[in-house]
Amino acid sequence: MLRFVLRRLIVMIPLVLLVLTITFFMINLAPGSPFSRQRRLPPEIEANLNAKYGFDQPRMVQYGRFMARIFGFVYDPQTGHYTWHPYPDFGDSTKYVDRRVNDIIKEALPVSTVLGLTAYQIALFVGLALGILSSLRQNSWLDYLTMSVAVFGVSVPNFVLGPLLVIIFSLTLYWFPAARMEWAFEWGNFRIPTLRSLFLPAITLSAIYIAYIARMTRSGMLETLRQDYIRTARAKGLPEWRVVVGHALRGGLLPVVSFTGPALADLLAGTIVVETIFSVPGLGRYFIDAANNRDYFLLLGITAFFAIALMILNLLVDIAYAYLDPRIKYR
Amino acid sequence: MKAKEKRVSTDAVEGASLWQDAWRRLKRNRLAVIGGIVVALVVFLALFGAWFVTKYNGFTYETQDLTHKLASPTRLHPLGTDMLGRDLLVRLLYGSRISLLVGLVSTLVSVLIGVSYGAIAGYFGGRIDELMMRVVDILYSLPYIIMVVVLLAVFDRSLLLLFIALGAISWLTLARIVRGQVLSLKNEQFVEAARATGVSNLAIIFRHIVPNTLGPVIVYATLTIPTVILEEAFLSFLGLGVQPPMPSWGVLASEGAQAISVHPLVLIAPATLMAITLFSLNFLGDGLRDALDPQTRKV
Repeated sequence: MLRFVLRRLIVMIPLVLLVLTITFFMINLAPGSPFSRQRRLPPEIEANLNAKYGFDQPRMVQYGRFMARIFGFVYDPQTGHYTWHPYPDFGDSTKYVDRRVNDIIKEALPVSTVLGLTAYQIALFVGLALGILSSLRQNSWLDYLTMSVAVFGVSVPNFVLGPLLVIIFSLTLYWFPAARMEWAFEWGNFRIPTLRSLFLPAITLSAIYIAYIARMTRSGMLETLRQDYIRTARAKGLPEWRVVVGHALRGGLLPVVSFTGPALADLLAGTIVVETIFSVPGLGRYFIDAANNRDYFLLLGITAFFAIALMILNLLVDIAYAYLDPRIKYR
Repeated sequence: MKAKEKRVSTDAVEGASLWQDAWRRLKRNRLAVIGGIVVALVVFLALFGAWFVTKYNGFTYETQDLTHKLASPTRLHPLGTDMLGRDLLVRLLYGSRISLLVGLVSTLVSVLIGVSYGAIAGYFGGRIDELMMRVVDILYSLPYIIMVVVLLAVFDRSLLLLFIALGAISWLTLARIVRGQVLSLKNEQFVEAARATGVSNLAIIFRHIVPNTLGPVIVYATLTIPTVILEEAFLSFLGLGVQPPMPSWGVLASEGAQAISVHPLVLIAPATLMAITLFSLNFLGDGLRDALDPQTRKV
């Protein structure tokens, strides 16, 4: 198991570099530059800016310097030497003048993480509860309610649900703030938003997963509950809740876990939309912002972060899968 | 040569009975039938609806009436107008056309790539297969939607780019499905017969094997269309997909979200039509899967 995890972590490094390489060339082959969209700058100033960020160099030199930065080697155009840090340095943002990409990521990452985790927990808790209860009371009103929630969650995309929730809970009932962050904890750049200000975004983000998880748990549980070992457990005289939690849930969860893997990529895309709708200053919003303003280094930095996050989460899913299904052995 | 052709055609006749069988099963599935009817209706409206509305009130999707912004439904504008005074109904119907077009064309792109890739990998087998499937594994772990956002953000956005970008990210699963099918088909006698008569490898793949994988491909493609439509809407909502004033469901939802506190209908109308369509497509896809492939259970 340990070897499997280590090998996967090692494979991750070339994959992230591949993502960054593709993204780098995609950005560089496109016409225009970070400064071409704003008011027309005097050519001398534009040349200076290009020199400052290294855009005046040939493409391959830029690529080489960028890749060196990932490994912590930062090229200094004044001295022409490289200096080394023990961490990747993604350089300076071109839109947010005088801000380093690393600082922006450091500031946005906790916000996105808290949002993602909250959404994930809501989805898991509500989805599992609905799925288990409806499988135990098949064809009851609870079952039908769950299935209607599932239908609703799948067919209403988050960019529709978000504004609807805002108009109901923020603009009519005034329960939650609309598009405004409240901070529970602040320490320099490191800020954690309050649950109150994250509640609507998290619900919006989790809706589709509540739906999927409820549906999959229900069908997985229905299938497992018919197995022989469940009958054995009941015949032994175990209380029903132990049969459900200890025996049926383990098998019933497998489809849910295997769904989580592919769902993670959507979760990342979901954070982009939700952070845009609710003006949450997280990675997703900076990502769209950077994409629209051609803030190359910020874009590449966040892409690297998304790629790493996605791969690590996928690895966790695989580990969880092996833990739940003893038939699976990773080498 | 002639005898062999006859043999191939007998297989085709058996195939037809399989299709009839599937059709009968599909007709028994009420949800799938309703889904199919609704999809047909939406397609019809998308194709001809905008034209009728323009005939009726003279508004195209970009005609503005700045004196009536965000108007409530009237006889002239059955769904009212949006924040730029454009008729919502005609924009909705025209937008459906764009969204469905994106869904259909991108799915076709993904089917073309996925089927060819999977069939070639499965047919040649061995090292080629190993290599090609390893590439798929690697591509699986890339954050695709992120890269599509970058692509659409830095290049000039056009429908063509959107088709290709969305098609290029949804072919992976299809390639795996087709490869699995081809692996089991390539040892069948009709393939051997074709090979014995000297048919070239590519012809065997695309004339003899691929038509036999059509069932799963159709099922998967039907289920890909709603996913692609959602992705288009997601990109358009962020301003990266279809470019205004041209409407699509994503563009309409994004415009509606801005005006929702004043006039909720501008968001609710496109959202409802989109939800109904996606829903029906999913039911139809599930029904097709049950009909064409009775062994696989639906999750």
